[in-house]
Amino acid sequence: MTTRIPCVRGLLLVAAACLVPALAAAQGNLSVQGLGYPPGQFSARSLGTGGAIGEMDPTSPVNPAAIIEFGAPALSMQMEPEFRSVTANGSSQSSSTQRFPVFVAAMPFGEHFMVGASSSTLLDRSWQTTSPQQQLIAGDTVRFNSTTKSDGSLNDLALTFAYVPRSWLRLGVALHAVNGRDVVTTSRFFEDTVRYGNTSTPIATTYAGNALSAGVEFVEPSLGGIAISYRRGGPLEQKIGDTTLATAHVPDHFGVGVVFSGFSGTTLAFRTAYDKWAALGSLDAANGAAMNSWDSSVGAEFTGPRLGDIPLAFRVGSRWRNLPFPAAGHQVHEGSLAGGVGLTLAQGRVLFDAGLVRASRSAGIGVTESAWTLSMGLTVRP
Amino acid sequence: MHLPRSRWVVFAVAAVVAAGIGACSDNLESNAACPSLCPGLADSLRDTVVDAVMIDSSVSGFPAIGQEPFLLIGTRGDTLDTRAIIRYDSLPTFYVPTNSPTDSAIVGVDSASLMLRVDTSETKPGAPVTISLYDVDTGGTDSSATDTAVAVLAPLFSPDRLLGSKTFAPESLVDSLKVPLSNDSVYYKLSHGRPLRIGIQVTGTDRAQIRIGTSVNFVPPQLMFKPAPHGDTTGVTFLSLSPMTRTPVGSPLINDLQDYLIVLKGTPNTTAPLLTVGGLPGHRVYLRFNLPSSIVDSSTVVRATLLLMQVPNPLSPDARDSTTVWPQALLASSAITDLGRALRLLAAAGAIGLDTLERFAPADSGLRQFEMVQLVRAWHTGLTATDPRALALRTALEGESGAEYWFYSSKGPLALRPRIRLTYAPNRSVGGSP
Repeated sequence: MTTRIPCVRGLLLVAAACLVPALAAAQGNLSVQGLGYPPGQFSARSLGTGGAIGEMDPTSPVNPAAIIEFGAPALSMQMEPEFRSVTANGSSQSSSTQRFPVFVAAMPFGEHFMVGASSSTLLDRSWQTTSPQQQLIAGDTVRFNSTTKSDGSLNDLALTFAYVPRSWLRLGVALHAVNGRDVVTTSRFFEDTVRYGNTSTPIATTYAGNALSAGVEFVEPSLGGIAISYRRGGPLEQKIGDTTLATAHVPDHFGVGVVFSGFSGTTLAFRTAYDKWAALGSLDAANGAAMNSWDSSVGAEFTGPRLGDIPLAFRVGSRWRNLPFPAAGHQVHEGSLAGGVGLTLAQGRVLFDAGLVRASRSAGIGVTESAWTLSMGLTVRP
Repeated sequence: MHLPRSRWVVFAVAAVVAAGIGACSDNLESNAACPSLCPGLADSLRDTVVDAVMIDSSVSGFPAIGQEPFLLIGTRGDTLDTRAIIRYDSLPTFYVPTNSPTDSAIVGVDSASLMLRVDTSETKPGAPVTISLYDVDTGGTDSSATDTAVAVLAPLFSPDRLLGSKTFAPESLVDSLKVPLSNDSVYYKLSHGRPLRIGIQVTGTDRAQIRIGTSVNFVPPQLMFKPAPHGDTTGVTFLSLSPMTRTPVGSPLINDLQDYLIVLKGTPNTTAPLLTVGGLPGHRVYLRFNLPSSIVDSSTVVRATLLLMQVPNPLSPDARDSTTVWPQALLASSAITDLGRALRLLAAAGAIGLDTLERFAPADSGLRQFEMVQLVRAWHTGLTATDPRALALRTALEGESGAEYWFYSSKGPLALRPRIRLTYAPNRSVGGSP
């Protein structure tokens, strides 16, 4: 059965399809171009090392095999405010956004099997710009501020199964539902509010896709380990209402992490990952299609002194990567330095991790962006 | 106080978490990279003028009798002759003397007068003004419809019914004017159980008019007298009475006929295809629109302006004095088909964003604009009961001023008819709201 869309509605949909990418593509920041900024799906602990331990960190839903590291029922959540500053033409402006990027729950079944569920932010698309406009209407110059605001994200909901067939081998698979909703609201705020009525027009876009991932860890407790993960993206649809605007694929992801713990009290880590963001195709690509990118980091975790009966861990790391969506046609590069601290409270039942990341972003277009990200994670093992 | 280190750590963790929660509010605004990285204006505003008036009509009789907050009493030669009627349908026959525990019958009246509260802003000084008070009792025992008829009341303003008068010099026209009344007439009325109904006429040589307060705004004329015969008023204080009417119970006018205006000569009517606003008796204009749904229902209207072409009215009283013509939303649903009734059910002036930014005089001419964007939006969203997409026009001093405005109607010359200018942004919202 086919459904005929009435002519006017059809025209509106076509217009919306044309306008949504145009509105959403450019947003006054380097980091949230296109479909948004990828926080990386890292926990506060991983971020403290620049993401270097992410492949083997159970609180970072990157490698399905890693959740086995919980070893017990666990619940982990995270908050992550970011404070950005964009500099262009000699002037700077600060903004801030609040993220809750990772939520992980895991439950063991027997000694060798664990099931987990997680929700993490794949792309964060929160931004707002305001620019003064004027238009000549019937001989009058009408002045107003035009504000465009985007509020939304793409989330990765994963159901994870991990298995330990041997003491040195961990395996995992995960089913992913990549869903999201983004509301781009364009508003006009007139100087003369007696004659003119302000406008606010929201356009809600939804995304639905899926993916499948698998991971493996090879562990030698006295030396460290190697972890590998791969996510195969399935179809991804962009819709307005019940009308499909565009189709693409969830980006494939490949990551490798190496951890060396041969020095007492010290863990050294390296990780690199490749994301095939180009699979997003033409979704919100008015300012340039998404580009594949590498994401690499090195870091270390040190066992620190004890504060009373509380053990401490310190972390440092560095990360460099390209962001998926170009700014004015140029790929955005991000380099960051990170540090963090971890505390084990309540006789090991509560883990508190905090990380601080200083990131610098540029695209070679005369606009630079820097950001402080404060990441706080709480893991409870009842 | 000494705390273990672990406690300090817990406090530190709590402080960091609190700082994070404190940063929960987003501040997403970022414009430093504009315009290179900012979205441009998605679509420009569009503008059109439409002949959207479906029905336009002037209806007189506003405000309703007895609903006037002020009464404009004047004799303006060829342009205006209005009189006020004040009713004291029940007069006391007993009073309580000072320092007496018992009532005493009123056996005489002394120092009778009518105290008028005057809005001096509408007084036209320049020459002496005479205020004359007449007995306009029609002789019936109760109020009836004919009691308010001009044809019945006008002949009663005759010299043989004069109750009193006083001439005021221009400088003595202040906010309280006391006009003497015949003591004998007042006593006759109260002693014979007759209503005292006073007609007020204002005369003079040059634009004689005053504007007095009424029961509607709680400053009605007061009947004052000493309830004792002349020469026997020692220790007797004044009685002060507010207007009172014996309108039969059940009459829609039960509370309205305490004080009201009659118009012997109203502002001039016109046979031209014009819309009339204001004047005496007051006119309101009813305008119903048929707006193009392709704009109103499928776009976001950012400005809607009613355009009316004013025609000069040199015959209007105070033709050179500026005042305001209000656009007001109608609350009457389409079930009310009588335009006069519909025009009585108006939203408050200024409600739903209706406004006019201009003041102009009846003798002026030119294009007048009335802003109505919020009302047009309300029609679209169904926030008002105004099934008919209609609007009323009235003067700010309706019934209190003779100013009468003329505008071309939809029967006027094509280029001068009422129109609506719409400025709008095409709608793009097809995905729901946030």
